[in-house]
Amino acid sequence: MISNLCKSFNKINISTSTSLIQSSRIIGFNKINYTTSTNELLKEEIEFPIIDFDSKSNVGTIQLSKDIFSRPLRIDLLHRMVRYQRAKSQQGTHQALNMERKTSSNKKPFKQKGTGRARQGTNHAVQMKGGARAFPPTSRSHAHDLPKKVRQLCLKVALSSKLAQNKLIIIDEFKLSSHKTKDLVSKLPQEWGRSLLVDKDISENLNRSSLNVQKIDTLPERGLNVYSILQNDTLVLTRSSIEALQSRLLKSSSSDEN
Amino acid sequence: MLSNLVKSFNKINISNTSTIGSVRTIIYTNPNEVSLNNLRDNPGATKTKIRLGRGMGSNKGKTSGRGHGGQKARAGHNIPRAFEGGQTPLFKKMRKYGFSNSKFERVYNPVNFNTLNRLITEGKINPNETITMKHLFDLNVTGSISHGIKLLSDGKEYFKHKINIELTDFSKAAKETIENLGGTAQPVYYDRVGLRYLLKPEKFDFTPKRARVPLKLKDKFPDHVTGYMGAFSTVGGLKAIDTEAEESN
Repeated sequence: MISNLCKSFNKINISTSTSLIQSSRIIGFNKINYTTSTNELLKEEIEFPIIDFDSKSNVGTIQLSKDIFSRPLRIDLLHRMVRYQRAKSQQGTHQALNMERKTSSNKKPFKQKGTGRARQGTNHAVQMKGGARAFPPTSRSHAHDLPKKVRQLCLKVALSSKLAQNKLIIIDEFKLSSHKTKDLVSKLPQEWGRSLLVDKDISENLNRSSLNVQKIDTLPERGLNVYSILQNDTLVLTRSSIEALQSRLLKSSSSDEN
Repeated sequence: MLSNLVKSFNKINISNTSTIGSVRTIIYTNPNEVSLNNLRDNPGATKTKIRLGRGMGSNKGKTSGRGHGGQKARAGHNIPRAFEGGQTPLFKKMRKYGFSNSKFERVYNPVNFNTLNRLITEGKINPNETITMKHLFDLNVTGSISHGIKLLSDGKEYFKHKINIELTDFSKAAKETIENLGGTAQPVYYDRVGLRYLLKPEKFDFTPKRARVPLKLKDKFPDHVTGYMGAFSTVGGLKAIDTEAEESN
């Protein structure tokens, strides 16, 4: 049974490693040759449709910057960013007692000679059951560093990967008449799967209606991050949030060049 | 069971997604796509630590790479670099000789015309008033100043402002360019206390006396008083001088 499982896993691994490259070619990753005149290419824009949240019909278009939405796929950077986020969010309150901090009797359990047992000094030494730990875990922060510019690039790569996989949706706005969960869920199509809803500010109605649904995450625009993007299938952005996002990211990237 | 799942996943292709122009529908995650279970770092990006004393198979098992026994195999061993096996080492045989004057060196922080030009064009420095070291220090042009600031001549060809400036030292070319533009370049002397009073006056409860110029530096600061009973030493600090000047006016 287990061997069968292993075989099937191996199959998956092989297929992913080969077809990932192929699919990336099909989708449009790495199409741009970034070695030549990078800055000019990144200044170009992509036209992208905006759909209505209720009827799912086209309402208009928006210009997406290639600097943010057409980055080549960097799996290694995404991996580092996810590691960074997970490590930083780790609570780190693990603790155990070492010999110094263990408070119990320091009495010699039995006499040195004549019992036929191995000699012992205390009942709570490292080798004893219920005893202290030699090198116990102490509460600490697990966070490590990642350069700020790399973190910004990671967010851009994650956004571009969503666009390239056809998993980015831009809607006009979340029109919710009530706080009822039923209202929100009825408007989310089955095909979107597990989705991340991003607005400039999360309204009371959106917050309440989405709280009890497992496959929906909500985030305000300023909280958008790589881990949440990768955790969800579909990324749903509103017009106001994407405008704020673009201005924020483009401003920081232009200041880097100077 | 699992193999069935895999098959079903493989059946779903990316081509199933519809085109951008129409209403967009999206399929569930398929194993070939970028998601949390597909991430990896570049091969060779991280090194695994060599663990010592963890069995024969690890190649660093029994003696942990320290050889067989002896002083060097023990924890915390340290042999000084100049140790010659008990023989009197060379540095103890020789007498001390030589000296260094480096602790008396006066180190000036460099500032160039490029920076001055930028600060004036950005409006951070007013070219009409006298520029002192306090202005440059407040704008974080240099780091901490130990003895003073020296103006150097990088970017002098682009500098077109008429300024009056008071710094500790000027290079010959820098002084020329300022004077050719009709400004003045005045070298001023401060000792450590006086400099600290100039840069951070809020740290003082009193106004310190301004120091005389040491005789060694007499030629560099011709306008300052030198000698035992210098005028600056009796009058007091900078503030006192300023108020007196205002009163006389």
